[in-house]
Amino acid sequence: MNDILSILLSYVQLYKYLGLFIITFLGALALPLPSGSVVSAAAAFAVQGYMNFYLVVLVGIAGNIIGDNTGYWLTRQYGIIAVHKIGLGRFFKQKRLDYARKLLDDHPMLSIFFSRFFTAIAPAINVVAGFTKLNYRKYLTFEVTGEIAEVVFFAGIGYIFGNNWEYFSQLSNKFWILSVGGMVLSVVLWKIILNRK
Amino acid sequence: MKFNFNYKKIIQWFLVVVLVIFLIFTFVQIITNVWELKREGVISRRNFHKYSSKAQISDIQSWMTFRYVNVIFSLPLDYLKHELNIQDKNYPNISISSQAKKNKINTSLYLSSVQQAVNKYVLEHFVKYE
Repeated sequence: MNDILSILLSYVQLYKYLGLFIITFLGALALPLPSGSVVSAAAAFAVQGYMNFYLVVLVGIAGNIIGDNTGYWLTRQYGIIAVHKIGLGRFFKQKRLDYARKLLDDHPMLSIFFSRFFTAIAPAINVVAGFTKLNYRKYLTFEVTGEIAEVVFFAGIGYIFGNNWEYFSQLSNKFWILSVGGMVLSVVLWKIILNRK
Repeated sequence: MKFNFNYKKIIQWFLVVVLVIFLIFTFVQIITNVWELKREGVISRRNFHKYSSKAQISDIQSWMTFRYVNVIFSLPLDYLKHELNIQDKNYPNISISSQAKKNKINTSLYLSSVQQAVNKYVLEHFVKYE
């Protein structure tokens, strides 16, 4: 187990639901924290009687959704202003923003829903969605359903596998990489074939 | 003779090849991990219930708090405090590693003493675990 995960799990054991909420919130907002593994571990603690499983799921979902939406709205309101102030405005031309928004708009399942399962990618998607002012209702729909699916999935691993949650959490991460990578490959190949025709 | 390179297509196909190689690598890793877990008996219908629900002494890790250890092994609240002579007023809401650092003891050694203390209680009180 890596040091960061050990430290985070100590905080969850010390502060329980408050610790879990803060970790999932910060992970969704910007920090590359292994919040999926933390949720699995918290569910395993619940199996042992240390926490309540349903509260773990609720708090995990709440932390993720609030973190995602905070990131989206902060970048939507202040993103472009901040970028111009630090002199990077030339990299964020309207044409590029429109293209990025079109990508998210055309593939919300792949870009928003499935990115919830990858804590390193999800905050970046939130930022892009905010920058490009992606339709909020569309963003919210896929983001909320994605977070519910993600938290229930990882909590389920902890609940079912108990003390062995760590093995299966790592395995599930690789499984998701394979699944989403396969979908991305399918979309890319389909577009290449379409262009040929 | 003129060659007409479509760089965009070349880059597209290069990315496709890289992605395919990466996916194959990930798939092989998954299969290897599953096979290792099966070999260690972690994935086993017979052992599933045993491994998934019961806490083992070896499951105790240095990042765990004393409160958590008390819960999973059904220890009396102050048992480890007296057994390990813990003076910290925050007990049991302290982690094993932080207590080791406070006492300036090697974390692995301190963890081992915690595991021995828990094992002693479990054996004395005939609590069955496998």
